[in-house]
Amino acid sequence: MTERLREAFDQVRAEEELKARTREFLLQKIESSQKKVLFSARRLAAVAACMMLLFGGGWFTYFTPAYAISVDVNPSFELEINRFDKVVSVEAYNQDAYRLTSSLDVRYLDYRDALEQILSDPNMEVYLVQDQPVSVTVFGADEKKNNEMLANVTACTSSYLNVHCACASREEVSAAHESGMSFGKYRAFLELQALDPDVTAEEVQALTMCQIQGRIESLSGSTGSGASHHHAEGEWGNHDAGHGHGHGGENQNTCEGDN
Amino acid sequence: MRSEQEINRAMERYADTVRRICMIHLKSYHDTEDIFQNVFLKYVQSCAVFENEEHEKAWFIRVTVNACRDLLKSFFRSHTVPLEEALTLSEKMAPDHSEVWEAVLSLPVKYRDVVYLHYYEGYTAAEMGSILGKNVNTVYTLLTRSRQLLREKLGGDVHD
Repeated sequence: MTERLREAFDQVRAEEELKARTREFLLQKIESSQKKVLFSARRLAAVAACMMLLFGGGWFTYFTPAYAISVDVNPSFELEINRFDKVVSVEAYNQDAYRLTSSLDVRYLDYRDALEQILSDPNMEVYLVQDQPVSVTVFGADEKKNNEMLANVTACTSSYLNVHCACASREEVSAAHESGMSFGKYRAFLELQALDPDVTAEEVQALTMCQIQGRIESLSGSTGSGASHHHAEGEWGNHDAGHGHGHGGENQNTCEGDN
Repeated sequence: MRSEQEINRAMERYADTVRRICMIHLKSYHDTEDIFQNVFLKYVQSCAVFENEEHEKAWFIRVTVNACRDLLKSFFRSHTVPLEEALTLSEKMAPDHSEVWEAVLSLPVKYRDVVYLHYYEGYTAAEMGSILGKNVNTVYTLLTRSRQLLREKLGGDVHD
């Protein structure tokens, strides 16, 4: 009986057709599973690339300066501003500027707040109370934005005497940087050079804004009544837009600060 | 995920075992094919590491028995598959074998596994208890009763 059972069970075998279909089914499953893994990997890579693009692009956009504001009294520095109106870096062009900017942290502030903070800083007030001419120059790639910034900067500095606000072109700013000067000082240098062709950029670099202004006035025979105050001439024809306020500040010979 | 080579090896070794267990539980060839494919798919997807061939074989038996039970337990299946669909394969066998299969398939489902595992695969009650998840004494009882029933149907002696 046991043998009969064994023989009867032994009669049943998995059909070749059944095995073949099962093999095919399993291979299809394996293949689709591998495709899924591949697809998932590709999708993951695509998502990662998008995230990198998004965050990397965002980071790049945020930290790339689109505009700048050059401030020259004697401290000569530039605030580099991104397209979201935030200060992303401060470039100092002389020792006074290093001293001033190292005591201030205006990065990531709105440029208006940064400018107000700088102008109200005790280290800066020393220059302002002495009525030294202050040159504030706005420059960037977008004319409309430059004009808007110029209007804001003019409003910010309206309470200070002897401040000149203007726009400048990218070419002029590049030339200034190549000469190792901030734009305001470079403009003063150009003005001085027009009167004295022998003057060099190196020589001017060593002078304070007040000293440059004094030489301009002595060469042009001006009495420093304010008529000699240079007006940064923007390439967009808004020469008058940023003229400083209270031109009554008289240049004094007691120019302060180093170069 | 196991390789094609592993699938072929497992198919050669355990396809007949899986097919027989399907035979003692299922009436329909389509169900058999479904279970057959699902068991091997579980094997392909399984991360189980087998100590030896016996361990692997026991895994196949347990998975096949459970898959058949699950199918039979499903409401849809229990209400739609006619019992008369059985025996189609056994009818094609030699008369003696066909008679044995008819006797086995006439047993209540709970007896069929132990009959197959004990008389064909040669498992002991303890091994069957482990594979089927049953108490050893229960397995002994199932074996004794199934032996009596088979004796009644087939006559002669059925030895342990």
